[in-house]
Amino acid sequence: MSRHAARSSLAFALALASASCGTQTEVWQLTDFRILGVRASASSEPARNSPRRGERTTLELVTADTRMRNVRVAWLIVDSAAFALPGASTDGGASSGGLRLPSIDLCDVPEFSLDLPGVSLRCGERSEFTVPSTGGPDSRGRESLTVFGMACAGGRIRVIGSNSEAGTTNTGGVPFECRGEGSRGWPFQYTLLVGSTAGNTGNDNMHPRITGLRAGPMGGALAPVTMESPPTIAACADQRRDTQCPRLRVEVDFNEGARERYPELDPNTQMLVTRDERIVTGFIVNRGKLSGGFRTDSNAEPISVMGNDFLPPAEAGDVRLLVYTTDGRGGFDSREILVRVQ
Amino acid sequence: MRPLLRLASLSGGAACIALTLPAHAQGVFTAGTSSEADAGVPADAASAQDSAPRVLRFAEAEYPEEEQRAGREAAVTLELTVTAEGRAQDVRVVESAGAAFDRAAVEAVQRFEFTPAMQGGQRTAATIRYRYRFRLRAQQSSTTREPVAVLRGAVRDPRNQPVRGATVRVRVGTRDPQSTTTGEDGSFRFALDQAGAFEVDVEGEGFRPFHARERLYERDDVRVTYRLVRPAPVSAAAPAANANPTANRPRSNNDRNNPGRDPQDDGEGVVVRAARPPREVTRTTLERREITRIPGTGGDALRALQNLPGLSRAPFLSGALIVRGSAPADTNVLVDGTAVPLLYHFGGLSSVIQTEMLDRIDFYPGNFSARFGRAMGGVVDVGLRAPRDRGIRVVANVSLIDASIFVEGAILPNLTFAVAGRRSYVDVVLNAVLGAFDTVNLTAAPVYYDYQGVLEWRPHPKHRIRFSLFGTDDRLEVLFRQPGDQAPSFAGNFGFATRYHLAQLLWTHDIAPGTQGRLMLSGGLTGLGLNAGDFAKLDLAFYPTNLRYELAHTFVPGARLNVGMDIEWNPGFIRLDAVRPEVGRPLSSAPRVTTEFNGVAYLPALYAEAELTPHSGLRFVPGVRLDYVGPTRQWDLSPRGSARWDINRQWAIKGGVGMFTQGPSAQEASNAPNNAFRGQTIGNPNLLTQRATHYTLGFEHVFSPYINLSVEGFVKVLDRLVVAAPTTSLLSQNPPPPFNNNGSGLVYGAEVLLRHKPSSRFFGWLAYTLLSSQRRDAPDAALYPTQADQTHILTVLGSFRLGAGWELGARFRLVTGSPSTPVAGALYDANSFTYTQLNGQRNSTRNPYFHQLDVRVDKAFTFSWGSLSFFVEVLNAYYAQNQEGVQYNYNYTESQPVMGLPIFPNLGFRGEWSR
Repeated sequence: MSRHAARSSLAFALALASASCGTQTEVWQLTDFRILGVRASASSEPARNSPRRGERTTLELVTADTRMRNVRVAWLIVDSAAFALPGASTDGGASSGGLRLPSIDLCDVPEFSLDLPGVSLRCGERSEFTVPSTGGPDSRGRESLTVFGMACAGGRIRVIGSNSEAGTTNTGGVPFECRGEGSRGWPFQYTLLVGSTAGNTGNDNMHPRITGLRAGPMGGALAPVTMESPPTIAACADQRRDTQCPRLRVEVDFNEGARERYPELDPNTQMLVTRDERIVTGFIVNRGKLSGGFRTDSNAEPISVMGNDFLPPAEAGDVRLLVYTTDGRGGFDSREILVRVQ
Repeated sequence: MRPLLRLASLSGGAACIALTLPAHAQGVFTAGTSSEADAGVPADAASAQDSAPRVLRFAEAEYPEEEQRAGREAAVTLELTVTAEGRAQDVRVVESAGAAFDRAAVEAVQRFEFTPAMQGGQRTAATIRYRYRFRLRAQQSSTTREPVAVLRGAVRDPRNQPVRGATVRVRVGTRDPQSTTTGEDGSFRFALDQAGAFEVDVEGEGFRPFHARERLYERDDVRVTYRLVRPAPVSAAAPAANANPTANRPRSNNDRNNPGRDPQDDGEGVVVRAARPPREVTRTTLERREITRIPGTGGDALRALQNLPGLSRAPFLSGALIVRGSAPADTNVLVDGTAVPLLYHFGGLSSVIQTEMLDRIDFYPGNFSARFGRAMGGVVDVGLRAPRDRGIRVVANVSLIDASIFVEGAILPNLTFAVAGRRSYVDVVLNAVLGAFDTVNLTAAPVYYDYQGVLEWRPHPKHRIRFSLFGTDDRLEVLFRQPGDQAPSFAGNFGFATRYHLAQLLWTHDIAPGTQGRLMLSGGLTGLGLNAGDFAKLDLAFYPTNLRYELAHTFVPGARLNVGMDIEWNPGFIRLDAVRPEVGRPLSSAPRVTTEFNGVAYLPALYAEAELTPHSGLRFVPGVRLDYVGPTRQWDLSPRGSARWDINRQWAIKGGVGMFTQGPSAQEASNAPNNAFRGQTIGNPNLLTQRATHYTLGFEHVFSPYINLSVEGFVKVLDRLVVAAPTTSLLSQNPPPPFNNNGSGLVYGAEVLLRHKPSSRFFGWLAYTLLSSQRRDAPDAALYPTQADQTHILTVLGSFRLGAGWELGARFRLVTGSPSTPVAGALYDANSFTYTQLNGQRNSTRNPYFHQLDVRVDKAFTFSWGSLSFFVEVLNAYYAQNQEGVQYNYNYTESQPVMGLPIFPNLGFRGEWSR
């Protein structure tokens, strides 16, 4: 039996084993409503991610929705050191991160805000708040704020109050839920480093910046692309994995110094050491296929090329391609282009 | 060697064939200690198409004592008629050698069995001459040396009546067998010129053939009783002493009464059996044929265990032993008393000790003896075989997943060896499969190997010293070139390696009549390595040393005391180099923390156990064990007791109660600093020992020598279970200890085993377990079902012999699906682009019922030099789509079942050569 025949037989056996498996939505498929990330910036210096104590800070939730619904967002900002963090992956049971709140609808008024000692409650896809001027490092020696949020597309946000029936839902500590016919909500969590001179976060963290996208046929030259100058590619009627259709190669360019060096307390030696950020980049399309959802720096490839291969769909038309990236310390950027499928 | 007979002449048509005996033609039979006989041959042949009678069953003549003392040898020529039924008739002396020799020869030949003469395809009577030669063995004719050992006894029927004229044959190694026939009182005697493991075959007219294996040492004089059974079904009222190994026997340690054993199955077999009545009330014994022919096990003895009651079905490809609802880590796996960390290779494909190396497998699902400790669940104690003391034997096995070889033999008469080795080639298969995926690259093949070696020395009949080496190594490494969908940082090399390499010294010795000692000293390395890409690298290495000594003394018949010590000294090293998970931080940028732990677990124990038989059939085994747990500085006293009452030959009741303790693992009790959580320790040195109390009660019923039933109820109360604090709570300002003793649990159920022991045509059983296994993680928390909670576990299997070496078997399993925790939703971590699953109520849903049919076909060929056999198995023959779990998409909004094994064929070959 040839190697190819053996491999085919085993692949058949594997396929038989998973014959009942259906097709699940891939991470690179935009099919509904999803959160890409939180862009938190010092209001006075939007390129800076880490605010300082007492500084005005802008929170912006970056989402994508195939149905372009109205999105309500609720933010609950707490000092990380003041609360026991919610138990992700724990068993069921409503939790409000230690807060006792009434069960009320929230964010019907987008500008709603409420400031309590150590806690800020905000509404809106984009919201501003002031970092508390006092606070200390958490158990890890970092000064940070923890943001619990709910993004609700096409629905209303309701606070899961202390009078809710315990044990009925598990929201991972997020005290909100999204309600409404045809709505889709996502609870989210975000940690915002506070740029204090104390501890191990002495340097400010700057957002990584996507300076451009380049695209072109696989193996060929890549040219800069924008929303205004989208790349084109022929539709592909054959959607098999090993199809002979042409693919589009897309690569992401970052600003110089996107991968910042930063000091951090080494937990082994308890001394400050210098580390390099690692970039994680996500890719999403609303039609067609990508060869993977993420590209990331790793130990094996510390400065990876953030690129992806796009297999066009069978039908012609514009395809949305979203690229979003994080530096691992809260910095965020995103970019969207169109791919013209002919 | 068979006697050579030639057809002499035909006279009177078909009525009678006259045969004559040439003077020098002879065959040789070994007949007891003092006589040999030559079987003669007829002189002339009349037709090549017809055949003369041939001796089918030889009977030994009693060597006349006076003649033997005088050192005289002789030959008696007889003339006899062999009937169409193959019996000797009208035996008369043609050439006399004296009255004593003549009488002995006539008596012996009358007990011969022949294949009758054939003429024209018809059986016919024939008259032949036969010369019976009495020959003294050379050394015995010149000396008066005593036999090396004596095996004597009686053959009886199920009603305990003597069986006269039964042929008893003993054989050691490849030497020619000795045989004799039983006298009027059913007795027989062999004066043996060597010690060793003897294969004993007994055949009586109208009875099923019987086989036993006896080990005799120098100057042994062993008395045994073999009971034969008739082939027709025996009524329930008939005595069935055979089924009960503890029934009254002249000498139980050599009373291997086992009517169902088929000679074809024997040889160098794995027979799990009790040398003495077991100290436990529940111990399951399988015979070699059962072990090697169970469909779905690939002939692997240790995988056969998984078909017994009390064992939950392990998750697909896990190879875990889940005994009576306990966690796999709560069951000890021992090799002749030395703990080994795993029983099955990679994914449970095969066990870590070859079937050929096994002498016994003792499986104790609960209420086990005080000699076993440090386990709350069950015990599997595997014994390596004693190598054969004559000749050499080689066995090779080849299957789709691995190949192995086994060699045993004698270096000197009292110095024997056995070695075995196995290696897998799963790597070839997986490379082919995974090579089809662009994102995965197999950088190091998933391979396993294991080896075992035994060197046994018997310097004196009362001393046996054995040195063993055994080990295994499993490893797998996979490179993920691209990050995963659910973990954007999930890339790099992933793999694991488990290994152990252990040496063991065993010394068993008879100190005085009724007093025996057993020493076991072992040491070596056990290790585990885990590589999780850029995230974590874990290395564990332990260097366990174990010293056991047990002294057993029989004070009076029916009262025996076993006292012993069991000391384990286990230095260990753990190194974890891993990123420290932090909320709101991708793993790829989280700090990497190295935590190391060096420590020694000193675990000495003392135990005492009595075996009391106040009167026949009633047996009490009270015991107590005292354990010291070094890492937590605690003493634990574990009283235990069991009882069994054989009411009669059909009914027995049994029960037991006992306390079983298990210390926390090395890391759970470690007080080494935890670099990942500054100011905290890796474990909690103030942990208490985990505890379980076992209660069992049951009965056994013997329907016939082949069919018996065992029913047993059990309850296990678990407390002080070690529970890990949630990782997130360790991040709080005042973190709790990483481990606590707040866990408790309750396991209860019943086990039924309806078994048909191997007969010449069939073996099989029905095993059913009713099980509930629940625990809670805090005193005020609700009980939840554990992963092992499988309410109904049914296994039905059977194997039929079709003849001509063919055998067909099938196994059907029906098991309640394992509990699982549903995913209630997901939380998006905007720092790491990942979704964290949010669980619903713990283990509140179940997989659907599991059901599967496996079939197996065997074919065996026997040759003069050995045997060849092959098997074909088809697992999941009707392609049941069994759900083994649930797979979620990247954000937990979609799910689909993960299915288990599809139709899966397996085949293997086995070759055996011996001389």
